[in-house]
Amino acid sequence: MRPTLSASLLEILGGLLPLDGSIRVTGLALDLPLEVACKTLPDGAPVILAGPPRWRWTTDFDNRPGRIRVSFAAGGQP
Amino acid sequence: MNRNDGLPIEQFIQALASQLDTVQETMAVKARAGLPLTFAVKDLSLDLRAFVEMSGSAVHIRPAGPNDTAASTLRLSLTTITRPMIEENTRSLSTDAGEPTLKEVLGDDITEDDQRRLEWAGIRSVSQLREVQRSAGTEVIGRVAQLPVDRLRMALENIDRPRIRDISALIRPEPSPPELRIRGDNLVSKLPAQVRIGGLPARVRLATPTELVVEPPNGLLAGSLEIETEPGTVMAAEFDARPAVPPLSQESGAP
Repeated sequence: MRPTLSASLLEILGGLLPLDGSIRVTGLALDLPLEVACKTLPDGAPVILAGPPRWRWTTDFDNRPGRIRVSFAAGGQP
Repeated sequence: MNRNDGLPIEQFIQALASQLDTVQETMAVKARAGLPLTFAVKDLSLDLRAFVEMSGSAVHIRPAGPNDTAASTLRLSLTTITRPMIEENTRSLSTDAGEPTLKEVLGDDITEDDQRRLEWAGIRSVSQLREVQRSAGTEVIGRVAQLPVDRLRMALENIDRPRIRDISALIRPEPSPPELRIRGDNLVSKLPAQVRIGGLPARVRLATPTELVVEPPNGLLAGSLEIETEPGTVMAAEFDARPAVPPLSQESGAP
């Protein structure tokens, strides 16, 4: 099951940032292929599901991915 | 629950912004929980393979599925903006407190599609519609919003018609007579409003475009009410503003 866009971004971000503070990361830019789908919840609210392609080699049964470019800036608590 | 549904483009953008808000909030929570550094989303650009479809005047986008080779690519770029920028860009969307919506005023005179076209032209409230009509004219609105001018003219005439929204009683301690407060729109024109209750003239104590306070003849708090804002423009309503009868209290000490 494809995760939401926010879950994918948080997972990628969490995997890239050092937890022990050994390196000071001042910014982060991602440029990734992204499979996108929409889902409507029972209450009518739309949700965007998106994540990196699930398979390295895409078949006719897989979505052709789009692309996401996102940059994060380090800072204080927003 | 449908997967890969098409969505109106506004909803898609809102859903995208909501996902970014979730990322931001989660990062803030992690920072509060002791993460040494927090990050904020600065810019995002999304190349979305999708089909763009029109449903009436609404633009829907549907992300491409497997084997959809003919899909378009939509490039969406989002960036963070500050609160002053938000306020600067959303002021035109706000309506005055108590101002009726376009739908409330125009009712069946405009369809959902017509209303959406007016929104495209930046007209979301009655005051905005009136302002643009005053400055640019009905024909220009019709051309920009792609609405038939005759229908638009009828709708605009409807805006200026008086409307009653609420009638309530103002009961004061005796010997002050009871008064009626009538709330609505366009209740005052160039001439003083004439109010009749049960066919008898009522004394108008206060008159503003959105409120009249009148002294009903013979203390009538129910019946038929007529307001004449100018010769030939009469609106009528049946009303009952009598206070609810309090329940009979039982005598104390009864077994």
